Amino acid sequence: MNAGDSRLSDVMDFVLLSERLEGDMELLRDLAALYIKEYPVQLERLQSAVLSSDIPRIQRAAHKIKGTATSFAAAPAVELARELVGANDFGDGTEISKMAGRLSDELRRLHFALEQFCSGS
Amino acid sequence: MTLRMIEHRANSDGNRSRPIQVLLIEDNIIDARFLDVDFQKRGESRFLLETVQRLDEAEKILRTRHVDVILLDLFLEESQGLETLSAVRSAAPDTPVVVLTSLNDEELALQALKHGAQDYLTKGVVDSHLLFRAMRYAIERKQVEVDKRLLEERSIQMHKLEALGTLAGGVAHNFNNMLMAILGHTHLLLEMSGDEDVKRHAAAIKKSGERASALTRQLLMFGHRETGDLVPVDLNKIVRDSEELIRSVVGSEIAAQFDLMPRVVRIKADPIQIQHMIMSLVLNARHAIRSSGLLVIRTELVETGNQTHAQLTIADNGCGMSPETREHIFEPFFTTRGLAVAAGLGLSTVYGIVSQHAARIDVESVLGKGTSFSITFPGLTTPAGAA
Repeated sequence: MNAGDSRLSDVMDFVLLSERLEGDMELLRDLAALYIKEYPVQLERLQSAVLSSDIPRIQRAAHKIKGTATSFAAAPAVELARELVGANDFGDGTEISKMAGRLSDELRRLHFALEQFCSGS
Repeated sequence: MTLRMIEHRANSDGNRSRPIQVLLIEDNIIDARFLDVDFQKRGESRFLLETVQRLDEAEKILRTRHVDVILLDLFLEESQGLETLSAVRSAAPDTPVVVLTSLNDEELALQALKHGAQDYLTKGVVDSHLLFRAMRYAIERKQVEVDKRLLEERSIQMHKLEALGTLAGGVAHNFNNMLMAILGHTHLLLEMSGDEDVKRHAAAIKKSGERASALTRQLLMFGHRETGDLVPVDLNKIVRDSEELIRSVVGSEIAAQFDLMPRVVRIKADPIQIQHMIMSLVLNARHAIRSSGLLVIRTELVETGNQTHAQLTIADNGCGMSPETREHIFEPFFTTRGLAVAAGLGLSTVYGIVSQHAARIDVESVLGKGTSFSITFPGLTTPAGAA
């Protein structure tokens, strides 16, 4: 699945989020816009930590992503970030790259879905 | 007699009229924004949320002004885990901290509680109602903790001063008896001797003896052994009668402001001792102000429980005291000016006078900003309609 396939309901619990925002879609647009702005920063932080094999930095980056994903009720991204934060041994780095890759993909999907929501399509 | 050392503390009560000031320390702007939404949508006007992204910004705020509760993300860019908590606790030891983090880790939660956090909540697990409740409970728990600690400190301080008073009073009493014998014989020498040289020496002994006697009287006052008659008097009148003396003591560089209740403020007291106490506190303020400044003398009625009490406050905008100095100010012979300059008995005498009147003295002081002494009297207050 690529980013272009994603809809809000695929990447997050839209009902839960709507309840939290009391159905305020304008507010959701504001928050989505904030995510769209912040997303490249979070992604870059994760990828640069992976490239430098800096485990504490990877875990810190994943931790932040987990917070953001939790706020958006984006369960798949929360789960992937949680795995990355909780992993104890990354061995030769192959496994961590794979995990970070999966998380990056999920973030792209979330980003794409929120962009679509913002543009009204 | 109750001695109360007031510190910067949360104003916690069930009927608070002002909103609860919350400081959120969170460097994830999206999480911060979501929380802000929760506060706006569900916090009503009970909470006032302020967000900072950096630890040093938070420390600056916490060191300069009051916050009711801190919501803390332990994992910031510049500080991680318990290190973040320690930094915040050190900046505001009496402010409750509720940890709010993405990491659902039982061990870390226990460690955070051991390190002084009031609660540990996980983002996404806790909803806004639970969060608000956790903050309110945290404030109350912390207040109980702070009150308990202050009570213990007060109790230790009072016992220390009582022991010092017993010792000083005992020594002064015996010393005074000996002085009376010395002064009596000196008086006889002055009366009986025709030798001018003897008279001159006897007069010198008498003068020194009288000075020593005045000193022992102060110590006796501190040790509660010098009691005068307590009679119903008007506190305002005592202050007014001292006004001229106060103005001459503080000089023209210090503005003396008298905020007296426009009616009789009745207390049961020894007016001479109260005047003595006022002058000691005024002298203390004059030394604290050093050059120019403001001295305020105020009388008012305050409510304690369901009782009304007369209160006298003497406040200055002088140099203030450090908490370390404040701990010792009522001890005899304690002075910040050196014993060659000051006897160190002024405030211990004040303490003795307050004790004899079964009153309470509260001290508030901020280094560099000033000091305020408030004496709350028991018993009689203003009769209704009295003017």
